Amino acid sequence: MPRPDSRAPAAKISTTGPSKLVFGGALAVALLAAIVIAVLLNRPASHEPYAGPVPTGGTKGANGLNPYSSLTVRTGVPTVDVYEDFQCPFCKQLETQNGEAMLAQAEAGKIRLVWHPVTFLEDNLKNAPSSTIAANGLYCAADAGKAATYHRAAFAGQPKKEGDGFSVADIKKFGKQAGIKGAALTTFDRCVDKGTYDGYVSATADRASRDDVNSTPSVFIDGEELSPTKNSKEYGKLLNEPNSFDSVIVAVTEK
Amino acid sequence: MSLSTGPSISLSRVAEQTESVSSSVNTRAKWHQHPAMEWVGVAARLILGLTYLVAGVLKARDLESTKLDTRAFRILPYDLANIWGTFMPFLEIILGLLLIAGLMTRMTAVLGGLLMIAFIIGISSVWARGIVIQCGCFGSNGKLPTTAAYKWDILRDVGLLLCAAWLVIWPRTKLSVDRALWG
Repeated sequence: MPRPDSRAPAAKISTTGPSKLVFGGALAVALLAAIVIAVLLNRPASHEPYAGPVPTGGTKGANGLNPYSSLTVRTGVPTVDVYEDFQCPFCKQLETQNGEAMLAQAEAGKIRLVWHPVTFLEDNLKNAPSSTIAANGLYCAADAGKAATYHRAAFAGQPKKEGDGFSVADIKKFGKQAGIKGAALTTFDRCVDKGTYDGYVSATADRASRDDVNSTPSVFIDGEELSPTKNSKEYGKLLNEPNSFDSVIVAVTEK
Repeated sequence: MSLSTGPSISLSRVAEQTESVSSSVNTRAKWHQHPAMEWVGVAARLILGLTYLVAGVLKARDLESTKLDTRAFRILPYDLANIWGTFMPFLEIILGLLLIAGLMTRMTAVLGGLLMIAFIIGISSVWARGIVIQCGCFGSNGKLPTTAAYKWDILRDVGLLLCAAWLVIWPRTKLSVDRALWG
């Protein structure tokens, strides 16, 4: 076998041309730089507690809104956390089928209801700040004592075509439809214009992502998740069967 | 890279000269050395490279959604998922450009193949756990999102992994910067 002959051309090929080390090094440097930038862009937040204004029914840690905060609920009643976006069609479906049933239970003091308006849809749909102004409007309405009626009006006024989004005028219209009047309406409109609770909105949304809520609507009953992934049977019931909330909460809490 | 293919080319040539009878057997064994196979490599480079480039650009243009999707896999912890979601689109763009140009083909194919394996593992993992990545918000046809699309995602990624594997084994291709610089 004439091995020495055959090896010669191969060796010649790899020594001609510019050094491969230069190209490999440049690639390594580019990738390292990209990693450093990605780390810097995503530095863990300094975990300072939220320090901005808190709406009526909100929490100090900026974690959603209790629409009936003035009610004293009995101890031991289940907490129901609803993560939703006023732009999300499935959230509207949940509101249509079971919004009133949930409110009725909350008003009767049988559950502690907490709404967590989140905002990632405005990124997905590229219509920021649609989700943020709608969520801010909920908090402004809560100050006027009209969170529940605003919630209903905002979902009823959801754009027919997903992605069309909300304007500031839409939000003010929801306030009027919610029954806010006179001086309270002036305050509400100013709150909407100023985006008083924008910081509270983003703090609540951040908190939701850290709690691994990545889709809407997501419902938690005493920490037990109902989503397309977990407890999908009960989740499907909430979305598709009118007034099924009472039976679902019994099924989940008795599990 | 060329060290491994060099000797065997000459070996078969020598075999052709010395034993004309067995030459056909030898050439069939070395089917991948047929000149047309370097065009298969070009196709593999373009399919993998364009996919990475387009996917990377789409993801880089909407980093917030990319980070959300990365978190939705629930594999990496929150901060690490965000870092990966920010870095990965740019890795894809760099790999895509290098593959299309055919520069450092073997090394980029190794990286591209490893990334594809990571994607396949990620999708299999969410599939097994029943997690739906698309938030239940697109289209209001009344149907809940399901995991039905995952098998197609995995099939696509396996196809792209095969392109990468081809290029790792046979990185010499026509119309490549590698060819222009190093022959």
